Amino acid sequence: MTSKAASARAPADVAGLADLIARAVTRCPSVAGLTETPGIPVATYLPGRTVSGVAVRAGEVEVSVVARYGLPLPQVAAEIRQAVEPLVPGRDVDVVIADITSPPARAGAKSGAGAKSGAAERPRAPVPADGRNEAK
Amino acid sequence: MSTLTVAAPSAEGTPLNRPGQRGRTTLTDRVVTKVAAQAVSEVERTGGVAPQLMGITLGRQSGSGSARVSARIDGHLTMIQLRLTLAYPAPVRTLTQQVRRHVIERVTSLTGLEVRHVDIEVARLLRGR
Repeated sequence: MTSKAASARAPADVAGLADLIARAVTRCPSVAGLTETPGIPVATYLPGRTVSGVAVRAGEVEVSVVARYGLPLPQVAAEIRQAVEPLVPGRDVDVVIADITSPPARAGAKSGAGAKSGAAERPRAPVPADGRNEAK
Repeated sequence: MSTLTVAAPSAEGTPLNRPGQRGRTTLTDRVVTKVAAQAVSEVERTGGVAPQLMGITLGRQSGSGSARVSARIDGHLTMIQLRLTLAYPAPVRTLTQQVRRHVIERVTSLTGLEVRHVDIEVARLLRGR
């Protein structure tokens, strides 16, 4: 395998990595989706297509997400970081939480001050055990 | 000698770093705005406001919709401004204090930011709500 072949394959690796990261992030239960922040463009530009919300750089990876309402956002960021870190060992994982979804409307949700339960009651969606290889 | 790496605060973002985690976490103003708007709607006897254009209210002030919120993040602090309507025979001062307390509690617990202040403008008192 020559060095020329290796360099020719490099863009494909970036594409694969960006897709892997995108899949890992969207599998997090508290992430509604990836997004390109207006004003802070986070995307990977590939031949023929764009991976929105994931930017792979030399020393860091940046992901930009829409979070689901309910969980404290620092926890959401930690969850994302945990999902992405194994894919990019040794790189920083910068997380941009660009937006959150509107909470589901509940009948009789008006409760005055002192409603403290909101943060902990989000049910955890089951994570597919072997989702990573399904699209290969 | 151990050093603790702390991310430099970005211009419009918020670092919420913990040692052992690498990378910055940035929240946008929009996130705080949505959390605060939701918190207002959770307080009883509050209502939304009609949209305004150049200081002129468009349509009737019916209390439907959500409160208008603008929020700004600066470092780990956030400043919030609210514009809302209240039901008429309600003690305005007590109710606005309740709104302020609830917004601070929700924004603090959900975003991890410190709420510097919450400005509240009561656009109208509405009967029959």
